Amino acid sequence: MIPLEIKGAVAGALSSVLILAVTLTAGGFYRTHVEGETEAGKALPATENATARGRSFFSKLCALPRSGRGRGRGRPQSSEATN
Amino acid sequence: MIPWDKIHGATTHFPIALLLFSTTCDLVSVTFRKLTLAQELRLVSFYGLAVAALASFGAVISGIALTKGDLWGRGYFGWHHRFVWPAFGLIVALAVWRLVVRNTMSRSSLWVYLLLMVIASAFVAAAGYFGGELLLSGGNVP
Repeated sequence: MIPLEIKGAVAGALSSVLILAVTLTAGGFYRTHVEGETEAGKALPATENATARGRSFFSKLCALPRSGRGRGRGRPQSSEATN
Repeated sequence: MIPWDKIHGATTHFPIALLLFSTTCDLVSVTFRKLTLAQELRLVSFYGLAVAALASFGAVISGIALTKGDLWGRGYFGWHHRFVWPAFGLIVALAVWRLVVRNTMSRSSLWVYLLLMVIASAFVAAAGYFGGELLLSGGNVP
């Protein structure tokens, strides 16, 4: 027959491990959820994104060497140039 | 918006105070076991530990919500967590053990129990210390 003390110790250890596992897992899920919400908040809306791409294209255009201007050379080759 | 910082600040003191009190009661009852007061101190320590274990859930849940799920961290924050998790596990384990066994512990089990209570108290005290340092240093919580 197993003494009550051993049963109690086993029950204590098992419940402790179980509660810690549940707590840490739930905390991990919560962190992932919060980070997902933060990333979604940081992403630019479509209109702001278009503005940002336009600015980027303009700055690239201004950074071209003088010799390349007006001759159809040295233009940005990215897809942004077609927009 | 739930004020998790205030809830954590309020709930976290219950497990710290009650666990230290429970350990002290246990140690006094063992030291002065011939006194009639010893048996009453054992009862007080049992309820102290039970309430400390229940309150530790509130402290842990509010802490997780406060840190947005960051379970480890760096600096004072990391040290706070290094002591909090073993303390939480030990408090739960000891409370369940005591709940099952009550006052029918053998002498050797009682010494193991007391040793674990002292270790849990040290962990809780250290976690409280680093939590306080974290607060005084301006938070630095995500």
